[in-house]
Amino acid sequence: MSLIRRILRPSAIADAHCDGPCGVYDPASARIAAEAVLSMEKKIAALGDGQDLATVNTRTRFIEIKESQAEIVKHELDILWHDYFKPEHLEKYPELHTTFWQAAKLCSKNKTESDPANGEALMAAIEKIHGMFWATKGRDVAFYRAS
Amino acid sequence: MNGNDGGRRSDLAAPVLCGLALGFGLAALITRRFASYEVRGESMVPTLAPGDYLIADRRAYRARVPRVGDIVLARDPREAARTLVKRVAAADGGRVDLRGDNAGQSTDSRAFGRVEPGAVIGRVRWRYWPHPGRVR
Repeated sequence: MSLIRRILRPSAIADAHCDGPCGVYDPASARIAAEAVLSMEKKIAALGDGQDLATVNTRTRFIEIKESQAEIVKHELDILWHDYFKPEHLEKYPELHTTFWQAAKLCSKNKTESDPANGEALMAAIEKIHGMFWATKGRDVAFYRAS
Repeated sequence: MNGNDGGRRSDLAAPVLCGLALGFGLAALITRRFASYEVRGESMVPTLAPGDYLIADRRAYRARVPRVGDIVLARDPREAARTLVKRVAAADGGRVDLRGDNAGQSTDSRAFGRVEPGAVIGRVRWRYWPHPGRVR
C-alpha cells in the first residue's frame, strides 16, 4: 500500500495554505494561567496581614506570580483573538470583540487588585471564549478546571 | 453463460485499466497538459484533505477565464514559488477572488487581495489518491 502510494506521489505541492501553525490553538493555555491567578488570590487572602519578613517574602512571591500569570492570560487571549478568530466567526458571534475586550480588562483588574472574585470572573470569561472557540470547530469540548 | 462472460470481463478489467492509465499518464507527460500535485494544509477541508493526490489541467484557462466555483492552482502573490490551491469565489472585473473552503483556517484573498488572472495556473480536475474521483 505505502509502496503504491510512494510511486504515485506527485513531486509538486498544492498548498491549501493558512498562515501560522493552524489548528494548534486552544483556550486551555489561557485557562491554566487564569487558574494560577485565582489560586494566588486565594493564597494571598489566606496568608493574612503579617509583616514579619517570612510572610512579606511569601506574599511578595504570590503577588509576583499573580502578576505574571495574568500577563500570560492576556497574551494567550490575544493570540486567540487576532490569530485564530476570523471575520466569519465575528458574523456568527457579534459579541466576540466585546468578550475579548472585557476578558483583557479583567486580566488588568486581577493585577491591580487581589480578590478571588476577580479570578472567578476571569475564569467565567475564559469559559465563554472556550465555548465560542470549540463551536467554531464544530466540536463539543467540556470546560474543566485543573484545580 | 452470463457468469462466464462476466468472469472474462473482470479478468480483462485490471490490465485494460492499467493500460489506459499508463496511456493517459504518458499522454499527460508528453503534452504537459496535466500535472499531479499533493495537497498540503487544511484550508480546503472538507473538499480536499492534506495528503490527497490531485491531477490538474494546466491549460484549462487558455481559452476561458476562471469561473466561480472552480478549484484552481494559483501562484501565491506573496511568495511566487508557492502554488496555492483555493476555490474561485468571485471573478468579475478580471481579478480573481480566491477562498479556502475551510474559511476559518485559510489564508486567501481576504489576506492578500484578489489575484491577477495570470496567477491562476491551472484547474484541479481529479483526485487519484486516496478516493479517486472528480473534484468539484
